[in-house]
Amino acid sequence: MRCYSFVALLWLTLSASAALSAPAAVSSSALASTTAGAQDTLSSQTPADARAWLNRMSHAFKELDYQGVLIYGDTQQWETLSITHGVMNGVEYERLYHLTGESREVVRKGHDITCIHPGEHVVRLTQNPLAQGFVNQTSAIDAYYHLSMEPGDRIAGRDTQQIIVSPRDAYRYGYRLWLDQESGMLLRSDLINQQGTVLERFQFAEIRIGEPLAASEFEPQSSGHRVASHIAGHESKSSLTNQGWHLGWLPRGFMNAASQLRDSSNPTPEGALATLMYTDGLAAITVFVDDAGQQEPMPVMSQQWGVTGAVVKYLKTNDTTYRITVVGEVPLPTVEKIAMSVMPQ
Amino acid sequence: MNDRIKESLSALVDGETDELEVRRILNEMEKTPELKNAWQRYQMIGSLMREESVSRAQLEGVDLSKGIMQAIDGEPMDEVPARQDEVENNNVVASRRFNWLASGAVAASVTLAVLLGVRLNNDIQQQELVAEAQTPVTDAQQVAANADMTPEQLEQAQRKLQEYVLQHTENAALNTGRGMMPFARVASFEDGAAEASEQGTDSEQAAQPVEATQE
Repeated sequence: MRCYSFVALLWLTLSASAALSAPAAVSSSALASTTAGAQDTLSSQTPADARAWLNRMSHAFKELDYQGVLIYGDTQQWETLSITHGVMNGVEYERLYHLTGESREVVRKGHDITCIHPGEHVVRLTQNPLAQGFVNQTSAIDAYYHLSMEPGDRIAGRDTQQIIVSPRDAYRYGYRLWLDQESGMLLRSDLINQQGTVLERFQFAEIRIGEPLAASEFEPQSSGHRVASHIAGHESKSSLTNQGWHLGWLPRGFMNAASQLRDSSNPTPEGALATLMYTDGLAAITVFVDDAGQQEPMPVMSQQWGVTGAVVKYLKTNDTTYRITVVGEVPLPTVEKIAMSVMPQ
Repeated sequence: MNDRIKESLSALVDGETDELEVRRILNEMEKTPELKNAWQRYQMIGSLMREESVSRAQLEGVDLSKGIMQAIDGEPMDEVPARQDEVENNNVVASRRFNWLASGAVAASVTLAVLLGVRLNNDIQQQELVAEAQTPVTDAQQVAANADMTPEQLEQAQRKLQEYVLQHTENAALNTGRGMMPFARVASFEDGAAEASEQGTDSEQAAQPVEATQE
């Protein structure tokens, strides 16, 4: 129950200080008729309803055709991106293109992701071996997040349902999600820390949902820049187990989504010795293990930018020193704590 | 060394100092080597009281004062003084976000904690952690950092980290059920990466692929 009062306080603080949105009682009542199983009053909305909405959201992301302009902001800057997603012949296509700053873009076809950057550096074409698809944990999610529903605002010209996701412990962030009433598509997402400060926001300025898209919409459009690509991360014998490495501690609810161990007999080693990926359904954490070799010095690092925290530590065993890197959209102490708990098995 | 400065120093170690105070201590430190030694001792005592395993060698290798001063002046932290001329030429400010210290506005006590990545001020959670994490390999231990690095080494370490952050983002995009949205975060990482590459051409060491130099 302590948890409850904390949550209430958190949201009070947030609505008082952030003044992000006026209550949208009008839109929510107008929408009650359009939503199947819509609730008469707020009090009848249960976590199960909120869970169902989250489920809709993850399906919408994978299954819908949509095209829109996305605004992304954190405590330091704003970016505008165009985003296009479609499913053709059972394969997901997606294209993300930065409309502000340099003209970088990310194109995805199935599990192949290509990042195209201006200039001649940093071009990756990866077949990501960790792509196991979304880990569907929405059934258990309210064990570590408290879910509730609020009336949504109008976002990108569409009526929304707001879902409030508050962590039950201090190891993760909270979210406010605005989902399209009609499709369940996520139209706005605020990530909030324990103090109630919004650290990051995604918001569609404009979106078209359900309009058929042509394959040409997913062609990279970075003309005028040299585009060189190479294939990285293609490990022929990648074993998808986390055998060999063990985490002594993880926040409750984080499950191993995927793991990759590098084949030690590979003559041209590339990438980490082991990559372990975890998610609680909303936040993701990746652990990388490298052989630090005779590297001197060994910089221990602890960094946070936006919502992403990263920690580099070193672990010495009988004959080897390992570099442990942990990256995740969770508070820095959580990242630190995980990094400290990584052990060879 | 007078008592007042001792007191200030102790407050600094505990992260209870304001920016002005930090400046004053650092100026003082420049002048008196005795004070510098005291600083290290205090750090040591503080660490011991918090039961951290910070070695003396680690503390001695780090000249914190310069870095703190830079940090509160809002100067980029991934450059050491030797490369100051290059800093002025490159437009580092635009992409400072990915640098060692995000901003000069960081409170001095926080700055201290993240300075050079050496977490002298570990939080309490880590202590429980030591007890919590059962070690299957008996003599496995966390290695203390040697923070006495050249700019190239620092830069290299940072580029490696950025690479992993990108990889993590990719994993997150494919596994957390919100499509490619996590990639929107990437813009700021890349500003930092691009900057690192440009600077990398200045030094032969950093021009090599990151992996190659580490194996």
